[in-house]
Amino acid sequence: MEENVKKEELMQDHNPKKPFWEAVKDFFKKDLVQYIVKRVLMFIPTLFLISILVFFVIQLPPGDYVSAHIAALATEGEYVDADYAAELRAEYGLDQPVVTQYIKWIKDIIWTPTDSQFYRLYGSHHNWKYSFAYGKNVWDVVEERLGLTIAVTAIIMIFQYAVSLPIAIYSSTHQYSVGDYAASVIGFLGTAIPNFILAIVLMFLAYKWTGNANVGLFTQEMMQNGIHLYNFGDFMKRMIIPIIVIGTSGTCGIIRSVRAQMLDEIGQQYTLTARAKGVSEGKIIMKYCFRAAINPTVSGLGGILSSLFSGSTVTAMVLNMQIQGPVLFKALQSQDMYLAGAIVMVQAVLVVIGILFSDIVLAFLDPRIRYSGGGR
Amino acid sequence: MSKKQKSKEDYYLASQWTLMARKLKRHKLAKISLVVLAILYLSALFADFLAPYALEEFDALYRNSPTTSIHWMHEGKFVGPHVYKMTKTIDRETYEVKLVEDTSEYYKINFFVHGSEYKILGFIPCDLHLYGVGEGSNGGTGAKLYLFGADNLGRDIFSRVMLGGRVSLTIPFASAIISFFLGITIGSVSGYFGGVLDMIIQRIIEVIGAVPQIPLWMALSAAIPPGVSTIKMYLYMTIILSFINWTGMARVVRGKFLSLKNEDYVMAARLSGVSTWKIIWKHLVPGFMSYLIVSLTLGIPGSIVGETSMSYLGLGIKSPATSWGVLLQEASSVTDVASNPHKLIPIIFVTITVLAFNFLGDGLRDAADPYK
Amino acid sequence: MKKRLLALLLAGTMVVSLAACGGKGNEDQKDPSPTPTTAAQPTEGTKQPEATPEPTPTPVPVDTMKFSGPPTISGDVTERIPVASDVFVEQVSASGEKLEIGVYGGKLNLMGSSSSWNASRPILESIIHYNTDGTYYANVIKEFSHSDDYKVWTFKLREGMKWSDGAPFTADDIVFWYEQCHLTNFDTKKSWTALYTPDADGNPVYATLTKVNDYEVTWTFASPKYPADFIENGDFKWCWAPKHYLEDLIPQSVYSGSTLSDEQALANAQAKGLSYATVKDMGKAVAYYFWNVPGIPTLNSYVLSTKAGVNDVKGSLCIFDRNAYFWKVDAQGQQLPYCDEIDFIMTSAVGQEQLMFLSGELDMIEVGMQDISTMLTNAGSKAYLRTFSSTNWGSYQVTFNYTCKDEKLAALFANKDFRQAMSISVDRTQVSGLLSDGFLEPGQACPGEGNFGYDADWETKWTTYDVATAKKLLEGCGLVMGSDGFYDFADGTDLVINFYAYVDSTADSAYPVLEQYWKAAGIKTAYKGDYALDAFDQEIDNNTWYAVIIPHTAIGGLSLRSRVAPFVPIAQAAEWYGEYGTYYGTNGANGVKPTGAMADLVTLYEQWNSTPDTEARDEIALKIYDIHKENLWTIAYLKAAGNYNLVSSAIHNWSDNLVSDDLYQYGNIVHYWTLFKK
Repeated sequence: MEENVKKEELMQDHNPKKPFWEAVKDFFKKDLVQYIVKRVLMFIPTLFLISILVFFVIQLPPGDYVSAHIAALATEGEYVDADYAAELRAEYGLDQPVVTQYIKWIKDIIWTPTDSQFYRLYGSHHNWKYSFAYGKNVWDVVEERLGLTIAVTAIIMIFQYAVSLPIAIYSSTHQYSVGDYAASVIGFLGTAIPNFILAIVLMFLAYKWTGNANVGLFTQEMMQNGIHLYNFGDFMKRMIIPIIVIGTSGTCGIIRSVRAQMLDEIGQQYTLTARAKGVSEGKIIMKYCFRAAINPTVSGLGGILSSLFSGSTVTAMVLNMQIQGPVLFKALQSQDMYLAGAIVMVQAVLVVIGILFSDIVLAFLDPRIRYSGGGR
Repeated sequence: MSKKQKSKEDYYLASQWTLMARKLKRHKLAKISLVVLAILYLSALFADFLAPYALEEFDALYRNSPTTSIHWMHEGKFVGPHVYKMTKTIDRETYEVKLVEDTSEYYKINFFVHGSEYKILGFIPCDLHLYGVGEGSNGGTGAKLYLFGADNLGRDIFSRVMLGGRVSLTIPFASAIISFFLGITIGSVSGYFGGVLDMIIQRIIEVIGAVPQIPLWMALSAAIPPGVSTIKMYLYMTIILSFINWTGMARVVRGKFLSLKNEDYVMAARLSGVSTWKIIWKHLVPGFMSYLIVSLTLGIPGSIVGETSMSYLGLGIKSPATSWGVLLQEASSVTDVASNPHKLIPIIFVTITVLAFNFLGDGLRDAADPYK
Repeated sequence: MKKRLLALLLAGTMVVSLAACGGKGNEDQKDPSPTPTTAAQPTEGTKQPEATPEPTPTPVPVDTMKFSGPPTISGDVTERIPVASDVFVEQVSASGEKLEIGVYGGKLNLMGSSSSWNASRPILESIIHYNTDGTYYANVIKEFSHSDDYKVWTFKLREGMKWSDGAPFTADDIVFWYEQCHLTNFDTKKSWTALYTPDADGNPVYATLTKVNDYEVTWTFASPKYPADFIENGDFKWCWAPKHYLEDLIPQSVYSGSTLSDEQALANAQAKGLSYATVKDMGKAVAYYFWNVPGIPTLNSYVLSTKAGVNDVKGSLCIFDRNAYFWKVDAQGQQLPYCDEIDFIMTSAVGQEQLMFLSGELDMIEVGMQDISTMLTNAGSKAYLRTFSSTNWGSYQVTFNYTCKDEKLAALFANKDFRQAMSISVDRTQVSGLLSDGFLEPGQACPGEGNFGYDADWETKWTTYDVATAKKLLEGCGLVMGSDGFYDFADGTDLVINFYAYVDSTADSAYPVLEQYWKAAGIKTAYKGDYALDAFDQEIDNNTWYAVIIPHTAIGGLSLRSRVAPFVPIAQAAEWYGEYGTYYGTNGANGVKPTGAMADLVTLYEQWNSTPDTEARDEIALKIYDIHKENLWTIAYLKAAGNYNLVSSAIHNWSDNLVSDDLYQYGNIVHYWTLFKK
């Protein structure tokens, strides 16, 4: 029987007369591909909804950049004349209805025409507008920290998985042992201590022990010369506290869901069967249980990414990490709305890409999902 | 009937919840956690009685005072538990403040004393406190017993931890319950009905989950009007937290529905004319209760920690109202960490609570696991 | 000339110097006049440069001075500094302490900030400089003088002075600034009052600027322009811009003499590495906040680096390099500044700078009073404390919206008895202990001891804790005690006073304390802290606020000269006068027309502004102060706190007894260009 199937497949694949578009059509008939295409198409309305939510959320607090700006000037002892505010608002279009502002905003991001002043000056079709506070194009500000934000997030995510998967496996296979309890306590401790206070305490202890302040990800020298091989060690030293603080705050979630899923799988019929058949315990765990347990891990990718972006903000402020979170917080406070909007947009898109990626991986791992339209 | 048979029979006849309770006992940490949580919630309930001082009892003398030491011997004689009053000296050159015990007079610690007035459970007026400091041996007044030391306004941190626990333990609990029901309802609708509705709900979940939380917090707390009462503030906070947190639950529920709705027993129920809501709540939800409990118990500690972060960013509850987040925020300066470590004691409470919820959740999950 | 200049410097500062140093190192100076104040009202008087000072011997005659420059810069230093007779010799600090001769090298590590003015404090060179006793001297310009009728002012420049890129600094740069940057409003600051006089209808008539020669200009006004609103006007810090660099950035839409379109001007800016969305943004950056823009030549001691990555003042690290053409030298003729660069390091939360200071990554930080002891203990011998005395009128100020929309509240606030009740219902001794461990003494919103206008009666006015009297006063205001233990309005409606406070203000700890006292007196209050600046400004705009703890525009200060808004309701957006200020700020278009005492303030201010004689002006100022004493629109509970700075022991020449004030440009008075590291 197996041979027959193989033959059929071979015949189909080697049909030379099939025109190209037929092949394409066939390709799209495959359920996995269909699912991926569907999912990617879904991406568009999601982005659209996000952009609306983002724009209205950053508009929600009272006041706008102009009032924030004038107040900031006032603290510095500067006073402005009455029509200055009105002039500024008109110039930035802040006096227009929110919907009009939104449409203009999203239109310019998607496509700024070639005959616009923006394109002539900057040669870009995507005008993310101007950051009032930085006096720069928004994208320049976003770009500055984007790479580092992604890098730091990736490092921390790898750390989280590296720490939590072994703990989860150990504690599910040694349920109710002292080791289970100890491993869990260690794994959960990071979540249980609020990040900002842990960061401050670690920073102070680090100063006490080493005499270095360890504030920020870079030394003054690195900020001038960039990171190279010779100072990479110093950079990694400065990553220790952020990794501990942010990394451990997420391990708990992963440990719990993987442990729970593993315990479910260990009790399943097929595991019992395998065990009865004499398959070695290690093989059962790795081949059956862990593979099944990887599902919630993969599907949680988007959520973990999102909580890393949010969770890192407070820590990044405490530790002076040069990532996007603190910039976002300041931009929100000073109502630098285009900058805030851009950062939130970028982070949201990254999270959605994370979700998309995890959905596709899940669909690849578990065929049922392709039919039902989603695995989570 | 033999004993063994009896226990077997009990086992088969026991309800799902009895079974869960029985299995919960096997998770030792969960058992301990349950006790710890019970103590914490009870102490929150009777915080006014346990706390010797009210939230607004300031004391300039005891500003930033470390933990008060309790003495038993006075001038070589046993006089029972007592404390000494502090004296303060300030150095105008170095700005150093020194607090030294004045041992000329001792103040006995009394139990069940009358102090500031409060209302038990919000309506029974009372002024009884577990302990307090009496008059000095020479008739002096003004000595304080600060078990956890004092904050920067000379308030008793122990009292503030007790009273603040009411906020920190209830808000996350309430918001977890709200998001639990929001999540189950929306998730089940999405999973059970599928189609366009599912598509729309899925997008909304995706969007709310994808947008970073800080702008949402800031936007929502900017919407809280000034001058609201503390109770209203709690309410707003609860709602803010639950609005952000329901999506995770909804996603779990929906996923489970997708895999369960085509099971035979659901089909059978549908064919025999059981209403949709009844199918959802009677047949489907119990089928994956363990997952929901994991999510619920994970949601509560998440919110407790979330509340502290909000306080740090200045978005949550404000002093003189107190929560653990407020206490930690007030202790988050280098000077406090370096010179007033007693201000960090509230961390212990946050940590223990969060750990306890996590272990309880684990225990419940194991207990709800039908295969064991 | 040089002797006169030096003489001025010394004469103007020796008072404080002797008071502070007990006369050491100043043997060669004449006896000072016995005024022991550290922060007197600025006086023009005999110490003003154009008056003839008594000749004072100088330690080293400038014309025999050997000039030398920092070793890191090659070439002849005399080519880079003004001619010997015009070079500026720094010998004493602003408080009159004799400066050490420094050594070259090293860098100053300071705290960064997203405030546009942050970098200006250490580096900005302005038209005049003040000493801590309020006297002042010509700084960037060599000298200034006025005609007898105050209609013509003459500025003389230093010959051979150069921009930081080596181009000569001449009268053309002043003409360029006035005609193309300022009068065109390219710098968005045409609102400065320094350069016009009002005509009969109150419309501005701008001064005519005439270039006499390369090193001399005259300003001619239509009617007399007195020092208070010209040379002493705090806004009028500079009147120059590098013509050779900025000329091609000014489009026709701004200046009719230009031929550039807006887009061409923006493209020209881009060619210089500066990108702006609009001409207005560009103008404000390059012609107003110019020290924050890389590439623009300045006259400052340190100039923003042009190296990418470290030249963004809002970035993590921002470097200002030594100006190789700086026009000041020390007493031995060594070109200043001593250090190679100033590094501004941005932090993101309070506390980081303390650790960085302890670990040696920062050389100077500002600390709160509560942190001083811990920091000094941890730093050991590595640091010393420098306290700037404050010119604030007390601390923990509370003020009310006298023009608020709720008429009942507005009437209550307007009642002096109500304010007295709010003041005396608080036990200041306890508050002092609770908020400052007793370091700040009880006080009222008034000039501090040693400052101009100090009045012991005023300091203790309404400060005696007396709840019974407070209650009587409240009842006298028509309030009735309600059943809940709080006063209600006569018609039975609840009285609740909503207090606001700004983000990061110390009001968060002050309110709970004050609240309990107000509560005890029967006044119900509520609080919303951490009010984002902009959100509160919006409330002020819409006039929807009631009361504020620690307002942004605190009442009082050193002098009317530094800022007017803390004394007179003349502009918008200050809390204590609410909509009254809007009335003047908008020329009567909006706001509420003040009456009574508030209106008197404005009348007196106008008199003050048009009085040339210093003593007569001080008398008017005192009348304004008397009105404040009488009304106490703002209540303070404790005396003013100083500004506390921890300075690394490696830093030399950081003078003691300095005064922090807007008029002195806050930290600018440290004279960073004289600091060196050893």
